[in-house]
Amino acid sequence: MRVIDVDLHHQISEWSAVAPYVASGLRWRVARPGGPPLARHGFKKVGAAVADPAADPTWVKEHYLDARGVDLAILTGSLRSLGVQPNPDLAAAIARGLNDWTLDNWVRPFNCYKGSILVAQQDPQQAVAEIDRLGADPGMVQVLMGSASEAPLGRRAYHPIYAACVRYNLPLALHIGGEGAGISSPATAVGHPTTYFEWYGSLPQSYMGHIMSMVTEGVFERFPTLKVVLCDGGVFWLPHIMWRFDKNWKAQRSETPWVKLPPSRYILDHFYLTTYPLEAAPEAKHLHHVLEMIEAERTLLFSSGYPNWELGDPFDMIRDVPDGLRRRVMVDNALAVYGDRLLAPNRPRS
Amino acid sequence: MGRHVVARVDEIPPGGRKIVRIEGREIGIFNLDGQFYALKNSCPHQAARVCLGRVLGTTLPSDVYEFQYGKEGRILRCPWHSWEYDITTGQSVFDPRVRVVTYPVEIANFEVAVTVS
Repeated sequence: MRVIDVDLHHQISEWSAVAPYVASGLRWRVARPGGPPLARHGFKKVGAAVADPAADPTWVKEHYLDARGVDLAILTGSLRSLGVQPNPDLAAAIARGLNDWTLDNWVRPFNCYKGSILVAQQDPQQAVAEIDRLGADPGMVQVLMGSASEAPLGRRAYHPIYAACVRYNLPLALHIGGEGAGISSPATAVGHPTTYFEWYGSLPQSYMGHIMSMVTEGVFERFPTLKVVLCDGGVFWLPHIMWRFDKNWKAQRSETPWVKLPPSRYILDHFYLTTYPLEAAPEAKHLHHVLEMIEAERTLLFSSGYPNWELGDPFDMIRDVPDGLRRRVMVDNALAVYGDRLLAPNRPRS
Repeated sequence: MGRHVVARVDEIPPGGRKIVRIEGREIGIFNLDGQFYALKNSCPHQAARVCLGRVLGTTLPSDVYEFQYGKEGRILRCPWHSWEYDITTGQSVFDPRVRVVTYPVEIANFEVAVTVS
């Protein structure tokens, strides 16, 4: 095993290809020209063009995985706003359809791809049902939700989703990108950003908010084996929230007496970060300091964000990761987070 | 160094306190239901005069979304940053290694004596 990529954005070539996988009652909404009605944030289109380099699994294997020495990639799709679509039933139907489409067309015909169980958290009950439906499939290695959300993810309404993750021993991956769309809160704490540049740069705020919420609402006291992978958010902001949080906890813990450990302990024991897009620190020593602070020897996973390389080549991005950490970041940490299922053979195509 | 008589017992009723100065340091004497405790008037955080803080209870470690208020009258909350200490041990509620300095107290002849080493 040379490289495991935990965040490959596979894309649909056209919605009509997904439509057969959507339950008949709502298939017509997906099959219509242009795909299903989806609330957008207005900065970047949802879905993919036909000629997109991430829409053909054979092409991606040859031109990305094989060409770059990647042995295994976890597919995270390209629909980030599903959890903030106003219509929870349509969102859940699309999630089910995309999951089956992914298994059938990407995961099962190959041994180099693993899937994510995409769920739409605005209806936790249907999200749990989807995890129950696919949680035992060896082709699925995690549950995936957008970090764009109607509410902070520590809220108790979401706890059944975490119980389901734990039931199948599946990590939960969050992915930025739907912030500001549909029923999402504004993408930044101070309101809606104006440009894609501003919007994308602000997105780690989502992770900060969700981490605060999940720790204070006791998610990791209730689900001590839950692991959360934060995709596409960088790493440099994490020490700030850990240590601000720890300091405040000493004085303010009485409000949440179930938070029994310093918050940074929950954070470092339960959250994992990905390398794309690693912040461009002007000097390598800055990165080295932060990697030490976040215990990167356990917590940092290689990700490519393929094919969205507008921020640079994901291998070039990690050139300053110290040699002593490299093997862990590229392979070992992912094996530790995802466990045996990552290497288990996929079921044959149905 | 040594033993200092700091108050008559009836000067500090249950729930009461008295701040005294011994050998250049301030010490808070607390009466919790007839038991006396002596704590240095200095918070280990930033040396605030912690013994001037409110005496109350706190929420005990509990299951998620459950609240158990306890140690009523035993918790001293620093007036500067609200760090809380158990008066009977000097230990903070969040980390037993973080503690206010305590001194042995003896009651003899209706007098409260503190030993400073």
